[in-house]
Amino acid sequence: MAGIASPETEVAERAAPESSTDPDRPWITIVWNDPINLMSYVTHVFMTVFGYPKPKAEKLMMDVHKKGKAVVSSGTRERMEADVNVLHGYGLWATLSQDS
Amino acid sequence: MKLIEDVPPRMSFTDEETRLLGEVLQAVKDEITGSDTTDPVIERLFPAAYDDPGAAGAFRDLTEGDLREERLIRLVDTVEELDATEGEVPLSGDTADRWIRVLNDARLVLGTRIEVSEDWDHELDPEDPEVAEKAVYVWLSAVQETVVQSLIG
Repeated sequence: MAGIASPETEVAERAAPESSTDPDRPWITIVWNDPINLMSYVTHVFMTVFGYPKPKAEKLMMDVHKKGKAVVSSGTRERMEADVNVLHGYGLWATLSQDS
Repeated sequence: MKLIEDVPPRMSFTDEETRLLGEVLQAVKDEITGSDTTDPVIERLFPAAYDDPGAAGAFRDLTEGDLREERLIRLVDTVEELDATEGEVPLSGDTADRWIRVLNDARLVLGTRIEVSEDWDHELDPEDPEVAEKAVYVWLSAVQETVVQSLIG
C-alpha cells in the first residue's frame, strides 16, 4: 500500500485452490496488498464497509500492508461474495475462499 | 486543492486543477467503457474473486456489469459536480464517499498504467519520460489523502 514510506519486499502467497467443499468450514474474505491504495483509504473502507472501529480497521490495514494480506470477514459463501463485491467497488483487491 | 474548513468542509480546486481533473476523469471514463478484457487496468478495477478460474468467471459474469455501471455513474456525477460548482465542492457524507472512490479509481487507472511499485516514494525525476503522468498521480494521491484524513480524523 502507499502512504508511509516503508518498502515491503515480501510477496504474499495466494491461497491454494479449494480441494473440498466441507459445508462446516466457513468462508473468508481476504484483502491483498497492492502498491496503489492508500493506507488511510484502506482503513476508511474497512470502517465504512464493515463498521469496524478505527483501531480494528487500522490493525487489519497494517496486516495487509506488512503481511501481504488479511482476513477481513468470515461467514457464508453468499455473505463473503457480497463483501468481495463491495470491496471491489471500492477498488480493493479482495478474494474469497473456504477457510482451511 | 485546498480543503476549506466549513460545515460541510469544501474542496477548493484552482481553475488549472479543475481542468486537469476533468481531463483525468474523462480518461478514466474512456478506460472503464473500453472492452479490452486483457487490459491490466480493467483487471485491476475488476479483479478475480476466486483463485479458481471457473468460479472467478461465474462471479465476474454476475457482478462486473453492475460494478462498471456504478463506477460510471459516480464518474459522471463527479464531472458534473466539478463543472456545476466551478471547482468549489462541498463534501457532505455521500459526496465525500463518492469523491474518494472516484479519486481512487483514477489512481488505480493511472497507477496501473505507469506501473507504480511499492518502493516508489513519489519522487519525480524530470528526465523520466512519464514524469507528467507521475506528477498527476502524486497530485491525485495528495488530494485523496486530504479528503480521507478529513473523514477518518
